[in-house]
Amino acid sequence: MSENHDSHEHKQSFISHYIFSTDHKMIAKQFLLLAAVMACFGGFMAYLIRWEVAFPNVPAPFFGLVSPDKFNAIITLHGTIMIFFVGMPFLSAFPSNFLIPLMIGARDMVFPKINMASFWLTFAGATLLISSFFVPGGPVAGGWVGYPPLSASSAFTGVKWGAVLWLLSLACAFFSSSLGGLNYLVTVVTLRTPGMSYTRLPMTVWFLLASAVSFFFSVGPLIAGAFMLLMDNVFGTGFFLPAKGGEPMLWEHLFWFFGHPEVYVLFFPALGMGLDIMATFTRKPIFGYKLILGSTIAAILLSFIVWAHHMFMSGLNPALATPFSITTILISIPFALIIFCMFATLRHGSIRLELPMLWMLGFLTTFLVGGLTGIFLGSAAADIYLHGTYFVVAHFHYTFFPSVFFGGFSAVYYWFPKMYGRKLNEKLGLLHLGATFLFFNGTFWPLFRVGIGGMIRRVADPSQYPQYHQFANWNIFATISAICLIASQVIFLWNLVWSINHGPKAEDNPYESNTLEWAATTPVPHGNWGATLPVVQAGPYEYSRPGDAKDWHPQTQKL
Amino acid sequence: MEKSATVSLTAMNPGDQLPTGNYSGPAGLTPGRLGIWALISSEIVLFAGLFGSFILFRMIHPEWSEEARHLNLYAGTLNSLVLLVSNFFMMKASTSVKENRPDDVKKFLALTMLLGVAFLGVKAFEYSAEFAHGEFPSSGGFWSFYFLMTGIHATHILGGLFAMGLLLRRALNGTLGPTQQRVGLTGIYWSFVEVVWIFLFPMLYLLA
Amino acid sequence: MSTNTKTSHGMIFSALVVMALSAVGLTFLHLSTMMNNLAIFTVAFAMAALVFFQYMELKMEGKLIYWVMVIPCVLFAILVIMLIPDVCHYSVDFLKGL
Repeated sequence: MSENHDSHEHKQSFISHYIFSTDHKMIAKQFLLLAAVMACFGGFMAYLIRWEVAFPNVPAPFFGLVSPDKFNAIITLHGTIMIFFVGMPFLSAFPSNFLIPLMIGARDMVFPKINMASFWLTFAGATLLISSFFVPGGPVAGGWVGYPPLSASSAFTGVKWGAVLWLLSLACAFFSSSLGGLNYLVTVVTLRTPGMSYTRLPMTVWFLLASAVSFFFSVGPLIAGAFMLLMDNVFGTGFFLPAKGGEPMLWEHLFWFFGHPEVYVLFFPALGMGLDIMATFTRKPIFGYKLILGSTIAAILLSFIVWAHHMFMSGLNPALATPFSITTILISIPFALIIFCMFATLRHGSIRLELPMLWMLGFLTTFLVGGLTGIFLGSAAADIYLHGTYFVVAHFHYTFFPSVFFGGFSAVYYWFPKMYGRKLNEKLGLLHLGATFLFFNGTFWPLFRVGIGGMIRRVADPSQYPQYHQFANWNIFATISAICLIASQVIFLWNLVWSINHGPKAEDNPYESNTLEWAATTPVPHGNWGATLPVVQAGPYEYSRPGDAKDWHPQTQKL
Repeated sequence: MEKSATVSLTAMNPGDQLPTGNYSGPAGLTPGRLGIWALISSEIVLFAGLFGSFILFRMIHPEWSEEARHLNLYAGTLNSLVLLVSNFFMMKASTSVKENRPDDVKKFLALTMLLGVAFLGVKAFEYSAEFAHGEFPSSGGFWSFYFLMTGIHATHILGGLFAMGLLLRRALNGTLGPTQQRVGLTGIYWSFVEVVWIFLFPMLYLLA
Repeated sequence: MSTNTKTSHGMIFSALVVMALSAVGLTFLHLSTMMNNLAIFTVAFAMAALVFFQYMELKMEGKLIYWVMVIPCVLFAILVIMLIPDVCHYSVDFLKGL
C-alpha cells in the first residue's frame, strides 16, 4: 500500500455502514437503538401490570382486559425483556462496544466480525421473543425465572410454542453476550496502546471487564438447564417434573447459579462508568483505586457462592440456608466499600453539577436503598416472611432501575458528545431527570410498604383477597406514578432523536476529562486515531494536581 | 516515545478490516489463542451444569446402570476411536500449517472432517436403533440425559465441522495464508470436544 | 511453535487408544461398583490430562490461561457439591449405590 495512494474515499453502502457494520461505534449505537425499542415494549408491559394490580378487572386503555393468564405472560415478558433485551444491550453491550477500544487506545475490537455477529444474535433473540405473541398458546407465562413444573409442560400454562421461542431467544441472547464478553476480554488484554498499563485503565474498562467475565463464567449451567427445560416442553422428558422422577430444585439451582452473577453483570457497568463520571465532575481522583479493584474481585468471587438466597422458600435443603445466608451478608461488604469510595470521591471535590453528575447522584441515592434492603432479604430468617412479597419487587427495582436507567442515562448524557458531536438538550435533560427521580420513587417506595404488609407478588387481581384491600390506595398511587414514569421517558427519547441532528455542537472534550476517548476527534473516524496510535503517559485520574495550571491532565500527556 | 501504527491509515478505506492496533498482551499469546481458551472455559462451565446434573441424578439412581446396558457399547467404543483418530489428523493438520506444507494441510483437514462426519454417522445409527427399540428421550431419566448430553456434544461436533469446512475451503482456494493460525485454534477446540467425549463415554456407557 | 514432533503425536495417540480400550475392557472384569467407577474415571482424567497438556499444549501457556482454565473447574466443583443436599436429598442411601 503506497503512501501516495490518492485518498479517494469510496463511500460505504448504507448497508455496510449502518446495517452490517463491523465498526465498534456503529455496533454500540445499534445496541442502543435495540435497547430503546425493547424498552418501549417492556415499559408498556410494566404499565399493564400496574394497571391490573391497581384497577383489577378494568380494561386497560390501549390494550383491553388484562386477564390472569395474560397477566402471567406479561410479567414474564416484562422481566425477560428488561433484563436481557434492555439491561444487557443498554448497560453492557452499548458502553463496552463504544468505550473499550477508545479508552484503551485501540482501533476497534480485536474480533470485529464476531462483534457484528454478537449484535445480530441479540436482534434475533429479540425478534424470536416478540414473535411469541403470535403463536398458538401465546407467549410464555411461567415467570421470567421459569420455575418448573409450571414452565415444564404446556399442560400447566397452556403455552407450548411460546415457551420454546422464549428458550430459543434466551439462547441467542446468551450466545451473543458470551461472544461479546470474549471480545471485550481479549481486546483489553491484547490491544492496549503503549503506555496503557493495567493500573492506568479507567474504572469503566475494569468494571465492563468484570461484567463480561462474570457473565461468561456463569451462563453455562443455565444453558444446560434451558436445554433440559426445552426437552421437557417438547419431548416429554422429565428433568424437572416430579411426576416423571425429575427435580424442580435442579432448575432453580442452575438458573440462579447464573441469575445471581447476572444481577452484578448488570450492576458493575453502572459502578464503573459512575466512577469515571464522578472523577470528571468532582475534578479529583476517585478515592481508593486499588481498594475498589480488590473489592470488585472479592465481589465477583463471592457472587458465585450466594445464589441460593433466591431459593430460601423453595424447599431448599435447610442445611444450605445457613452457608448461603452467610455468604450473602458477606457480599454486602465489598459493595459497600465501593459505594463508600464513591461517596468519599465526592468529599472535597469541586463538584460540577452537570447532567451526567446529577444522574449519578440520583443513582447513588436510589441504589443505596436497594442495596440496604437486600441485606434483609439475604437473611434466611427474614426472608421466610419477605420472599415473594412486593418487598422483593421493590428491592430489585431499587437496584436494577438505578443501575440500568440512572447509570445508563448518566452514561448517555456524558458520552453523547463523543458519539454524535452534539450535546443533548439541557432543559429537557433536567426535566427528564426530575421526573424520573420523582416518579421512580413514587412507584416503588410504596411497594416496600405493601410488601412488608404481606402483599404477595405476581397476583393479577389483589381485590379477591380481603387482606389486600388495605393496600388499594398505595397500589393506585404506585400505578399513577408508574404511568408518569413511563411517560417521562418520552422526553428522553425525543431529546435523543432530535439532538443527534439538531443538538448544540460540542467540541472534542466538552467536560475536560482525562480519559483517552476524549482525545479522539469528534466525530470519531473509522480506526479511531488517525495515522498513529496515542501513547499513554499518565493515569486516568490526574485531576487538580497541585502546581498544575489547569485542573485536568489528559492521559496522553507526560506528568 | 511515539510509536506509530503499523499501516498508514490514508491507504485504508472505510469498511476495510483494520489492523486493530499494537499488541500488548503476554509474550507468545495471540488474541486468537486467548479467545479460544476463554471460549473453552465458558464451555467447561456449560458442561459442568450438564455433567454435574447427570452425576447428581446418577448418584440417587443406581438402577440406571441397567438402562445403560441397552446402549451399544461397540458403537460407543468405535466412536471413541473415530474421534481419537480425527484429533490425531487435526494435530497433523496443525503441524502441516506450521511446517508450510499446504497439500498436507488440505489432506489432513479433509480427513479430520471425514472422521467427524463418521462420528455423527455412528451416532445417528445408534439413535435410530434406540428409537426402533422404543427408547426415546421420554423413556426415563437415563434416556433423557443420554439424548440430551450426546445431542449437545453432537452439536459441538457440527460447529467444529462448520469451522473446519470454512478453513478447508480457504485451503483449497489457496487463501489460507493470512488466517492460518485458525487451524491451530480450531484444533484446540476440536481437542476440547474430544475431552468432553472422554468423560461422556464412560459416564453414559461404562458406569456400573 | 510446536515442540511436539510427529513421533510424539503418534505416541500420545497410541497411549490414548490403549487407555480408551482398557477402560472398556475394565468393565468386563465386573469389579465392585466403587472400584469400577473409580478406575474408569481415573483413566478418563488421565486421558483428558494428556489431551489438554500435550495436544492443546496447555503446559506452554502462561499464567493468564492457567487462571482462565482453573476457574471453571473450581466452579464445576462448587456447583456439584452445593447441589448434593437438594438433588440427592441429602440422604445417606445414595452412598449405597456407589
